[in-house]
Amino acid sequence: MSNTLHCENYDLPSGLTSEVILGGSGPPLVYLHSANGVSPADPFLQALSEHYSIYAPVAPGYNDLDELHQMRTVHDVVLHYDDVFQVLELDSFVMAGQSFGGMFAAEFAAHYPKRISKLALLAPVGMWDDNIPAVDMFATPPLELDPLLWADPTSEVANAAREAMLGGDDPVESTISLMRGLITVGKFLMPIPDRGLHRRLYRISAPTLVLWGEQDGLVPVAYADLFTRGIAGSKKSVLPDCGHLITLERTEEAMSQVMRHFSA
Amino acid sequence: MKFHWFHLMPYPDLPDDFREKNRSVWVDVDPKLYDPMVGNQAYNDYLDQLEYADQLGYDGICVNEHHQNAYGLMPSPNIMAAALARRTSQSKIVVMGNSVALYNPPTRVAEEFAMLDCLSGGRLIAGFPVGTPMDTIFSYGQTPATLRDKYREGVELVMRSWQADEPFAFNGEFTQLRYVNVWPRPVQKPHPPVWIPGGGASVDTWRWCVENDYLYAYLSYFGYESGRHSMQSYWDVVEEMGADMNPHRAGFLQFVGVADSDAHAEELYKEPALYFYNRCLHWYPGFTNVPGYMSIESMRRGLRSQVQTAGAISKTTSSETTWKEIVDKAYVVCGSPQTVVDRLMDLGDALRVGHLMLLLHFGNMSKELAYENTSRFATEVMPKLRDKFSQWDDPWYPADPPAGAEPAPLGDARGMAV
Repeated sequence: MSNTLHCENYDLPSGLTSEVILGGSGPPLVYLHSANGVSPADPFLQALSEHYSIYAPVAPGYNDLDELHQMRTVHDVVLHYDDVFQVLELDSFVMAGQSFGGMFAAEFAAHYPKRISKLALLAPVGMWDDNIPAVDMFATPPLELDPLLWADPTSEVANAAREAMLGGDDPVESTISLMRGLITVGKFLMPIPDRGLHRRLYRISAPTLVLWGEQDGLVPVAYADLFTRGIAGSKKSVLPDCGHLITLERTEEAMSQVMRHFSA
Repeated sequence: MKFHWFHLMPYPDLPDDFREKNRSVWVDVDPKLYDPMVGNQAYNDYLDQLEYADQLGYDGICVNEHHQNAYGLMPSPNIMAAALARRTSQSKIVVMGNSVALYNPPTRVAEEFAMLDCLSGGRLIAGFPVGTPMDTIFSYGQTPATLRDKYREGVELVMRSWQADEPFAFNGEFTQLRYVNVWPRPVQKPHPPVWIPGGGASVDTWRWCVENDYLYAYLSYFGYESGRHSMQSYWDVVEEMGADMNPHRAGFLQFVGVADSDAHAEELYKEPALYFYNRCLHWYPGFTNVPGYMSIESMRRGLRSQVQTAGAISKTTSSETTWKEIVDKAYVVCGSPQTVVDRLMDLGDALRVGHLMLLLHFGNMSKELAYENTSRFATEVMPKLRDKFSQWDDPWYPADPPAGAEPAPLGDARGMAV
């Protein structure tokens, strides 16, 4: 598969700069990434880019932690994304988000319900239920956390992801970049991953797919029901042999389920 | 050199199999292990020991703040400092300190410290630690992304509140107050000396201390040998920034055990030392290394130099500590009075620290041994180190109280009940 995606930087009226992964052709699809970040090599986005024009903004904080000074609450982040979409001249679109990005895709769709025609939430975070205690990802050392992310931690894709996370051309800068991501995510998920999304879910009017990995060791699959209960007309789909990192571990299935949902 | 008697106030009765049965002494330590009657005895014994240090001429007596921690039973050091202010008269009261970001609003710290300064007649040293990740992030629900900014803003607010001569409005990122007006006002002008305890890894903390002329105290549990690198880096920053190299702008924590001989030291101190290093420092690594607790700059510096930055962090992940390691690496400086004098002289030269915080009680040490250690250190060690650095002045230590600010005579009301 040829790489059709690339990065571009956009200056925003807020004074911030947003890096966006984009490319492909077709109607616009916005994707908000997980804690791991996003790159033009993302296999899930590449697959989708054959049918859609992809827009995947890098979350504020990921490239520069100082940006977080302007992101005091989730509302600031939603407004930031609105700035990005205005500059990209995106008015109405389908939206997908994974994990941390799933939380903000839901937030955006709750803040601007009329602009999202279809929504796909892939193992989103942002909800808390005392009866379903999720792992404290911030208090779990990386090597203990990693096996919880996969249905099969020994698979080729899991090994490759681990290597990419810890290595690269410059392991120190790879680590720093990973840390910037976790610090950003932590700002909105610590100490409890609940910034009030459950109070706003009812506002989402887009037909919504909630997709979960059956063996998700980070956010138990039972959390899918909290989302489907909160979003009228939403539907749940659970992928077998799949952990938290849905688009990496089950790229094909994730892509075909999301495609089917968006084109229905 | 000045000597400060520091108490951590550990819970003295953790079971022998504590390491095997628990993942951490901190944050999620089993609440069923706490017996309040043991706590009652421990608090009173520990306050006795601090009062004893005052009588023996220690320059300071230190208390500190920890949360959900079985080796540090002072969620509120100010309560202990208040008890000490009434029962001591000479030693300065070193609160090491209040983790400002955890107080809402942070003017609470300004108020309580001002109370302590008034109560003690100007004997307060005001410590402002960021606080460990266990205390701040995991026990008190702060987020790493904002902790340090919130802390700095809080310290700025406290300092302003002590020095402003009129009520003022404060519009911060983390605290908004329409009327800041701290009553009571501290005795010491313009404010009590400010000490910043830290873990020896934060370049930006060092710069900030130098910029504001705050004392930096490296609180390591791993002795002066392993503290050399960090303190050298600190002094490099001091020099780079063009500040004077006055040893009194630095403090260091050191465990000490005084005995008749080096062999006698093992007999006395091995058990409490092993209790401390193997039970009290049994920390779950997931709590020590949370992303974002260290600034990106400090993290990059640590990774690049391949140096284990905070000794404590790397140490806790490893296996059980032995007495040999404790002695050889000088985690505990112990032996005959002469051995201790020699090693502390070496410590002073190596780290260039004018303020030594001494842990003369540690682990499950008996109160009798704590008294003996405290007394022998005061009479057989302290006098021989007194003059070290005496050519330097010490603006980081409370001056004599102004006339009229001496503490009121204690106990006027005793015996008056009818």
